[in-house]
Amino acid sequence: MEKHYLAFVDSIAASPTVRLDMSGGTKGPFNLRDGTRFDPPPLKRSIPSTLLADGGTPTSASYDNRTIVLVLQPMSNGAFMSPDNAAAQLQLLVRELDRPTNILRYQAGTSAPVFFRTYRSGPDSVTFTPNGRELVVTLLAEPFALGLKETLSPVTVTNNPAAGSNGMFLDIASPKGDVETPLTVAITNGTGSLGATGRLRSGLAVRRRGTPANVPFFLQAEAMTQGTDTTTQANSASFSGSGNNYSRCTFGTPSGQQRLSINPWPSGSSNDYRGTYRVFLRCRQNTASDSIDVQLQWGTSSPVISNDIVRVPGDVQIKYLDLGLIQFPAGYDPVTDGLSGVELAVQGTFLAVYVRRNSGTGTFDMDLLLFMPADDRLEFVKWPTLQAFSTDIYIAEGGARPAAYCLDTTGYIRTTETIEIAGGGLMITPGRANRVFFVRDLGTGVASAGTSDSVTATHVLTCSYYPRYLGGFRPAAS
Amino acid sequence: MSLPVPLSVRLRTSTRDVHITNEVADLVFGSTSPGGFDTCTLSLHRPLRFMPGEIAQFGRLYVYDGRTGATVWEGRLQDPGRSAGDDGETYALAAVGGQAHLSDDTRQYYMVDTDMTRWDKVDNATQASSVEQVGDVNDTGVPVMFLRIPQGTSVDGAIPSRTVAAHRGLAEAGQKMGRLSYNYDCGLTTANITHSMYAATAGVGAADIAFSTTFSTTSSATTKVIGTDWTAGRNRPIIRFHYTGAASSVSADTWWLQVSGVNLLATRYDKSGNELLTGASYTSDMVLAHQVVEDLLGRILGATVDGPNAAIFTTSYLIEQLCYPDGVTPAKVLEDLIQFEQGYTYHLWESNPNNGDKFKFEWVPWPSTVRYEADVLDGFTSPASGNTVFNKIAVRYRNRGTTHIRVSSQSVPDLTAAGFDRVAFVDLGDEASTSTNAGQVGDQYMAEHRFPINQGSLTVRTPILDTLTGRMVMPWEIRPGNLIRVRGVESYPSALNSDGRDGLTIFKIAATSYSASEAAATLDLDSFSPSVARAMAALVKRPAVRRR
Repeated sequence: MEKHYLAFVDSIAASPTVRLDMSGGTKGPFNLRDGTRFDPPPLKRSIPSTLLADGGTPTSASYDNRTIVLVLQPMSNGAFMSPDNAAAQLQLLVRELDRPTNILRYQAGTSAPVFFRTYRSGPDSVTFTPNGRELVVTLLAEPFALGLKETLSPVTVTNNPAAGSNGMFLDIASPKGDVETPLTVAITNGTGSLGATGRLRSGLAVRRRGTPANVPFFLQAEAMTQGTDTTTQANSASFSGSGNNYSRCTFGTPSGQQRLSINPWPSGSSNDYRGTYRVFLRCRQNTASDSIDVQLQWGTSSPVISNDIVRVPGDVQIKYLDLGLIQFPAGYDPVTDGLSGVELAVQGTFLAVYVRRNSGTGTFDMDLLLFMPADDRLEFVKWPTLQAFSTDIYIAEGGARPAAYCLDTTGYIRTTETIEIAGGGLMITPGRANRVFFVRDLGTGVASAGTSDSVTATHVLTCSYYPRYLGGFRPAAS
Repeated sequence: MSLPVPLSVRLRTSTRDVHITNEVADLVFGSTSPGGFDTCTLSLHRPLRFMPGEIAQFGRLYVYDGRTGATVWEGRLQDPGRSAGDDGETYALAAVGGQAHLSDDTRQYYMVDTDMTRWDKVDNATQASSVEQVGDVNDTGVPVMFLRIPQGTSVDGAIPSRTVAAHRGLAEAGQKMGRLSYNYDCGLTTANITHSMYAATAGVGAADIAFSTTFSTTSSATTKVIGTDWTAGRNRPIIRFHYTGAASSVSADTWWLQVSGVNLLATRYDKSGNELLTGASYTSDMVLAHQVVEDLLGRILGATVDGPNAAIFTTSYLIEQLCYPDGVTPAKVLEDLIQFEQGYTYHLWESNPNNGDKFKFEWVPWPSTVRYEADVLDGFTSPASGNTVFNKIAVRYRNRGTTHIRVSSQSVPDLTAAGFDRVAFVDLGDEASTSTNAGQVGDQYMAEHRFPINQGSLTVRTPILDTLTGRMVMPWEIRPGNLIRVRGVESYPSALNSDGRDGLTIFKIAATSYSASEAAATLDLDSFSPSVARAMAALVKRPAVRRR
């Protein structure tokens, strides 16, 4: 006969401290009775309806907290527990129920347990008569049952999208669980440090549909058509790519001219091109006092969609410049072929970089265009100015309440300059490939403070998550 | 899309910086045009026993689009209302967008002043001398100012005997002279009386003689500017005449100087906060709306609004009169400017982290091309009352101490067919008032009221096409200050060639409001939908000073 284990424990761990074991069956101290239920959480949905159209399409949905019904009978060796002992056991139980938050471990005859994070709940009813003693409680809990923490192998990520492996990304092959779950990324120094004067602003994004490896992530400037006063330059280790690996504009005509272009990009077609991307130009102006503006134009070569004009900060450091959002395909996207559900592949679009020099005499170098996926989760984390110790670990927690903080090597939280976050925390989806993008610095503060972006900097990223389950059970390995 | 709404909410104070997305309830945020980010309200359950570190007056509240990292709303906490009741212990947080900073400072404000009633006698060396204003000296509508020494007065060039008139308001407002021009005439021709324009300093400080000539019955005009004709910093404009001859007595009533058409310009700031101190910046007797906008940014709003990076489009209507001796907020000045330039609007959006977290500002023309494409499926109303249609307008204004009404008209087919007139009334007070200004305001108002103004709304729950950015955008990304084409209402081909709102299928987005609990944005079309909340907001925003 399968055995069900039920206990309040102090943590979500393989061997937690058990606060109250409720798994004894008729041997006691608690017998889990019929009526005990681990119903899945209800799904809340927003479905606008109108008489103008048949049906209604859910525009958003989220799971509500769940309720767990426990029917517990204090017993001892197959018999009712004595009144005094039963009262003592029920007191222990009520003390656990009364905690503001608690953790309920449940193993429904399976080889792996799940954990519920519960909230203070009072008993629904208590029967305490010579004929029976029973307590019924409806426990309020977070929506999902959680598995044990899954910590993935550390991955060294290089701050160069063209790096041979893990260039600004890492893959998570097939996370466990039923539903999406927040991803926590622990970042330690490789050759690069996150603490820097000017404050690094790292970008983290995720692609978790289709084949993430096919995401059009970067485009080398030297691979584009060189426009007015622009030519490729001999290899420089400061820039990404091989051979002539960057483009320089000399501004023979200083006004806004098309300096780089390509049509279309990416070539061919793929479902994986589909989506919105935030585009960054890795660039450098070579005279600090110059005033230079950059604009991304895209869509079709005529008429184009013009993103905002961006002023390049007045320094000579290599940096990423935010050129705004683009979408593949531009404009309306039916996504599927009619009502068939068959996804229509997407082609690339025209892309052009316009640059003008408002004043000055210097040149302008362009390395690559970076396309951060911006249709799922994209967050920017502003790290502290100083990293106290090179062994410090920076944590970026995902989910609905993203957070970032610093740990020392012993796991203690270190007080740092306030770490700021913009955007949404990372989530990963189980059962499919997830690609996490990590770019060391997408801001301009560090470059302005005197440090160029480095294509050789590395960081070691260790991802972890708690798999989330809808039922009160989980498979052994997923 | 059927997932949790991917918005992220952040609170930042000097002591804490946290995301509270999964703790908030009833998140609602909105924007207006003009204005930009308007208000954001949410409920946050926290114990009342101590004030949480993330809640503080004027702390920052951010709402991000978790997909793109973009800021969809940002402002400052203003009303962290605490309550305890059936819902537990709750903070009802209300934050206001950057536009609230437009009402932080009420002060006297002069840009261009043509009102001679603010000139007064300031010197008593010749006790009988006088300075008087006459509202309409020749029944031609031209007000003048007379500086006079009356007949029979003993005069002596050694004193010298004189009449001095000065403008007091500029110095009281803490502003400086940029340009002064006027017409003049004299009662006699003599080399013994000198007429002068001084650029002085309040409190009998340093002064420059910007212009000087002897009395002549030949009328003339003079224009002088900062840098060329006086030193920067002068704040007390003076018009005077004085006697230079031997001691004698005024023999006839001819010792007068008549001044008219006074145009006094204060110095202006550029948007970066640099005061414009050369004559090249003051080539006209009037000001343009965009120059005033720059001045507000550079003079008053520099601590909170990102002036240097502001987008300010140039305007063309030359404003003759714009001064607020009773005090004014930048919000009220901008409201008045839009009366002159109804094709323009302004917005304060998210802060610029590269410039001290100051709010981004733009003064832009209303676009003439459609930006958003939507339909009526999620909800649409379009009440357009005939109450908003007028074929005549009476603009009341006060200038040089006299109240005027300027009436203009236009042809409105509906009213012609109905056989009666509807007359709108606009009160310009005396702060922006000349006949020309009143005409401009009247014309702009009439153009907006030739057809019924829509006061409807559109609900958007699903992604819609944004033709400007080439993307499908979610309801919370829709920004006011743009045109939207609503499909499913009165189809006709010209709707695809529109050059502005048509009241049928193409509308101005006047305001947006997104509710996370309803996962829907409500757009106010063409004008603000009538509501109690809007009426109360309008009352709160009423200027603290009286209209004269």
